[in-house]
Formats: sequence, structure tokens, C-alpha cells
Amino acid sequence: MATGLTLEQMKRFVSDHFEDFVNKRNSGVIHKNMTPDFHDNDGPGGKPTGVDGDERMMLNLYKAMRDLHLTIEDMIAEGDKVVCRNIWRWTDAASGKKMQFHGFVLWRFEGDQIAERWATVTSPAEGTSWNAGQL
Amino acid sequence: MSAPAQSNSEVIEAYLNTVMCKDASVVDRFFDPDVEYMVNGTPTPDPEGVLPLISAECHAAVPWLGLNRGRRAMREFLAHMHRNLEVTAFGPREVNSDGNKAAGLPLVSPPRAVDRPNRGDLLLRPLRAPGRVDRQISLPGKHIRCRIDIPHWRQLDAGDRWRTTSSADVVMRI
Repeated sequence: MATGLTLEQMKRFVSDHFEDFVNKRNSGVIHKNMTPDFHDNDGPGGKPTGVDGDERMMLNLYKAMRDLHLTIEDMIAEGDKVVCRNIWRWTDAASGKKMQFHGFVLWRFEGDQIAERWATVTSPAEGTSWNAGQL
Repeated sequence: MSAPAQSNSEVIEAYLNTVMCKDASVVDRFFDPDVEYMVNGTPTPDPEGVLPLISAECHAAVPWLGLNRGRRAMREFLAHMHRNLEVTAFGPREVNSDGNKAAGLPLVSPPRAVDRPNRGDLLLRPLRAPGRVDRQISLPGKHIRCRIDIPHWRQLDAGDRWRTTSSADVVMRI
């Protein structure tokens, strides 16, 4: 099923999803934003999963990364897909170091929801501090 | 009559095919003289804190990771990478474009046998000892199943010149 959303609507949808799912720590939003048969090709551990697997992963991230914050650095939309280039930042609880990793994610839409995901991320590395108010 | 102009997606697709063939002309054909090409991050901290930092351990094992500026640096980067890795297969990937940018991402499906590429997977053969990093880099000489993700971002700057940034995340599994 194709999507009826425009390219700009898809971008806004993805941006809102990240804001709620990551920055606002609302894991349950994934049930609203994804199709019932949503397929994540690159879930935790590089294995495919669905909505429940991704929600569990995010709940674990909330616990491990108390100040986890994602910024979307770039976004591309074409057809029924959106690609994002993201930076994930947090403070390591044990060392107090500012950490980050970068990721690319490809989302495919069906109707007005996300139906499929592919992603790649860099390894976590020490980064620099950031001011969330400026993001 | 001149050939029709390629879309951004077609340019990236052509670039990926050319570079995988170790075609030495790829740099002059596809890159602006002032190209900035980043693979995973930089080995030195970015003063602005935007670019990801590559650890010393990781950079020692995979020395072609980093930020390359200009065609000369690009040639050296590709030569270095090709001396160390042989691409033996490349599964399909998807290239999307939007305005002056394009991204190429592999489409991955569940694992298959080691000698058959997944959708979007590269099969690579390390030609020299790459060392070990977090158990992700194999011992030298082994034919390993690898996945390499190569998102490419092209952006037209104010001077109407193409500037390209690339990030590759190589995950190698024995």
C-alpha cells in the first residue's frame, strides 16, 4: 500500500516520531506511528524485529542513558521513503563522559504510518557536550 | 545531441558501481576538487563537536577511516582501502534523492550462507592484517562476511559545485 502523505508530511512525521520516541521518552508512541506488521530490518543486535522489540530496546536505552538526546542533522524524502542522518548524545553514567554515535536510518511508509526500517550506526565514542536549548 | 542529465540517485548509483570496480577514474569523474569525504568520523576531535570521533584503537585497525578533503586525499583513501579490501560481491541497495542531496543505503535481509550476499551486503576479503577492533574485525586472510553501509550525501554549495560527504560503517563478522 502506498502512502498518501506528501514528502514534507513524511519528514514531519519522522521528525515528530524521533522527538516523542527518543527525546520525550514516550516509547508507546511507536504503536501509533508504526503499522501493525512493522518490520525493522536492523533491530537490536542487528537482527530484525517489530514494534515490541524496538519498544523494549528504547526502554532499555531510557534506563542506561538518562539524558539521551537525538538531533536530526539531515533528512531526505523520495517516493514512500525518508532517510535521516542523526546524532545520538548522552552522558555515560559510569564515567560522566559525554558520548555520541551517529546513524543513518531509512523509513518506508504505508498509508499514514511507518511500515519498515533500515539503519546503520557508528560505534559509540566520546563526544562533546551540547546545549539542548540550542538544538 | 548531449546525453540526458543524470538524476542525483543515478549519479550515486553510478559512483557506487564504479568505486566497487576499483576504477581509478572515479575520483575525477564524480568528485568536486574540494570534496569532503568522511568515513565514520575523524580520528581527531572535531572542534565543533559535530563529527563523530574515531577511537585510536579503531583507527589503528582500520586506518582508511576518517575525513578526506580534496581529490588527492580521495585517491589516497581509495587506494589505501582497495589495497586492504577486495569487494567480492555487492547486494542491491537503495538510493534516494531529495533536492541537492542523495543517500544510498543497503537493504538488508536475514543472514544467508557466508558466500552469498544478503540484500545490500558486501562480501569483502581483507588483503592485509587489519587487526582487531571490538571483535568486529576478523583475523587476516579469512574470507569473512561483511556488511558495509555507505550513505552518501551530496550537497550543492553556493558556488554551484558539488560537495560530497560519505559515511561508511563497516561491520565485519567471521
